[in-house]
Amino acid sequence: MADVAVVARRTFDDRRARLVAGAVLAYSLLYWVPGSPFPERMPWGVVTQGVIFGTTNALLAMGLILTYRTTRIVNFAYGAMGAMPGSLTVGLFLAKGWNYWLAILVGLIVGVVSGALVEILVIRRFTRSSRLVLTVATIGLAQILGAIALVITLVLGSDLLTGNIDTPIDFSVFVRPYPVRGDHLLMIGVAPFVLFGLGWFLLRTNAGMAVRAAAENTERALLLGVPVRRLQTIVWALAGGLSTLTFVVKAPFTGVVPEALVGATAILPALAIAVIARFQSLPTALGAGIALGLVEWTARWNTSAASFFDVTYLVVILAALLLRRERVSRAETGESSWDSAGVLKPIPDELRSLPEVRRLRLVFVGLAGLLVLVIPLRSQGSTVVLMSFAVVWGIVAMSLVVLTGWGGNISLGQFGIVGVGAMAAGNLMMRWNVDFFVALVFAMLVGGGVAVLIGLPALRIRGLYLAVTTLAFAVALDSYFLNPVNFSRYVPDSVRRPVLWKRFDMASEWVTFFVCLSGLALATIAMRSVRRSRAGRVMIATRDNDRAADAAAVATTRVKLQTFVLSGCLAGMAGALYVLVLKGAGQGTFHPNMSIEVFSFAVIGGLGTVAGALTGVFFFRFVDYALGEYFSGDVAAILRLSLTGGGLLGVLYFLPGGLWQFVQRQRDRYLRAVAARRGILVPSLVADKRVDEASDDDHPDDETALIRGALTSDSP
Amino acid sequence: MTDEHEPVETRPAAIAMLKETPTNRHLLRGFGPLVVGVILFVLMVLLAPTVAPERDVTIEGPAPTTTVSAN
Repeated sequence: MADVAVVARRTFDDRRARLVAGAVLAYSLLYWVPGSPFPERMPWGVVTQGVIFGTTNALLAMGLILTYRTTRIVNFAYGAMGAMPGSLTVGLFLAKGWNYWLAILVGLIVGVVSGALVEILVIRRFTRSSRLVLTVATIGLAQILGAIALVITLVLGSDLLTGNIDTPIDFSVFVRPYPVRGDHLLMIGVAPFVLFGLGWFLLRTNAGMAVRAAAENTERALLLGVPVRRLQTIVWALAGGLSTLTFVVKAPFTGVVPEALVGATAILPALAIAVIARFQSLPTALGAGIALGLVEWTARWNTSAASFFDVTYLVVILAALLLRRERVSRAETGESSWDSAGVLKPIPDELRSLPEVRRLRLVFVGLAGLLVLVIPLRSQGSTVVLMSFAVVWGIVAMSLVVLTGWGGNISLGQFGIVGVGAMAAGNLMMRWNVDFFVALVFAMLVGGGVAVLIGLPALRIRGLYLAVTTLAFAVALDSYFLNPVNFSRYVPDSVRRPVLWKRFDMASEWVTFFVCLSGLALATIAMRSVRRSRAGRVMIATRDNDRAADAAAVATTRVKLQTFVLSGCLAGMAGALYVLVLKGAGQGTFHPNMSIEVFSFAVIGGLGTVAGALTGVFFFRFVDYALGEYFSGDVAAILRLSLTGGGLLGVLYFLPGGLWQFVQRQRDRYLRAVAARRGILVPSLVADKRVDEASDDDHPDDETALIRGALTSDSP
Repeated sequence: MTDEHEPVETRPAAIAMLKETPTNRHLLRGFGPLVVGVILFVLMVLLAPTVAPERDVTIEGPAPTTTVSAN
């Protein structure tokens, strides 16, 4: 009893607890006042539902915070980590007729084991990588886990696993206007248990204390004898279990739909809550979750536009970031960048003008040009449309090269900006028949403007928060702003293609293709110029070491913002071309998952160079087309997810510079042979190579000969 | 034309040189290419616009209802 009294006294002493108690009391009293709006606008049932669903989102957020506090990354695979064992649970219960509680237990065990395996097989491989790389790895991981979840639903009978699910919890009470079922109570009962459990683990146990120490300073914790690796495995196992638990208690209401399985979008509410809680405080996460839940359900009850709430998430995230003062802990400093091993080098000056090198370059450029010109001319119109789309995706990928490859930031909502550009250009052309090029420039300006609005709150503080704001923006744009229910007048649903310079009718797919291709070529030339200018060098400097750049009087926040604005302009341009190719745009045209796809494709191709990103996008657009030809539905989705997710992880681990790095390795091999044949010493071809301890045997003969030759020629 | 970076002998001369604002020798302070680009763009939009062709949209009204009165 004494313990209960202590807990009660401490709770009463807590300011936040008093605030919550006051709000509950005020609501209860005002409810009965004659003329009060509460019975009509905010009845008990709405409040109850808001609290219940807000609590589940808070549970998701707690898991995100837990992984953030140990690895200092936003784990975009968190939703998928629970969806995979969760779909197994639901499948076993519904399709195989297992006992509900036994199925939950099995799901939880699988969740914990898979969480540990994820850490051992994937996260641990990237211990030495930057946080940016690890964050991208979680995006790949989400896709692989999503593919496994889809396989499970397919094997267990996917028809059974959508929509609401009846569970054996036989309890129901009516709280006007909604019934409260036993499943609701299970949801709300789990949250405090998890909160206290996690709080106890982190604050009271030795392992929890060691986890916090390792999160603050891994090297120091290692020196003090903390078994960091084992602790991380424990934390990821806990996170896996927690994510599964959240999925399972939510499943009776949301069902097991593919959206929930795969997309990083499923964790958007949790991301909003975690941002409010600064990825730090678990009680704040619970409070913020309940508050957001209340706002959401009250808005749903009072308005017809349910998608309005997606905008609220965006506003909440932006406001929370804007109100946040930068307080950097030791663990937050030294925000690392894109892996420098992935930096691709140009052809060395010593060899550039040699005839065999120039000839080879000409051959490759000529071949590429020929392919680009000849293939469309010999293809059917429907195929040319697909090529035009691929080219526009290429421009989006280029915008990611600027942002991620050069700027070291992540955008998971690049297609949101593309959508804004499409809306701007589409409306100008559709309503006022404005010149296409004017619409294109306007779309670029709008893209840049949007980049400022959503970039500024995120970029002023350290950390990869841009990924969160852009994701929220992409979701809000697709579900709310492009929703004809909300903005029927501003959705450009039917855009007529213009006649180019009064001569070439763009109704022809070939003309449109070459316009898109010219856009891509111009953007490539412009970006190459930017990269070679001071602006480009400053971007790279800020990416590689923003503290050193700061010390060299570079306004790093402004540079980061400039990088995002440049990237936004390119995305806006892509939007104008997209709406032209598609002859309109609407809800679903710029689905948030497309942003994650294009990001994955570009990383696999190589985000360090424009050519690499373009190769990745073109290759995967082709694979996508081929998959669509031979497979359909779930099988195609599984293959696509496995390819992109597996490709992403494989590339990050083996070829940090992307597939283009492989191409460049072959090029360097050829260049070394040329240098050896001509007896030219090219230090940049041999000096930067990693030398293994094994001995000279690892060096190719030509390289060793080169070094020996250089030494003998220098000696007197 | 004298070299701006030639070494100076005296302290006042050095200070005077430092105070001197460097002259921008580029066309329109370096914005020349941008201005030329904008002019070309405007000319393109005015002389060879890329717009959708006008089309006549005919919407048929409701069929006239005539009443025939017999005399």
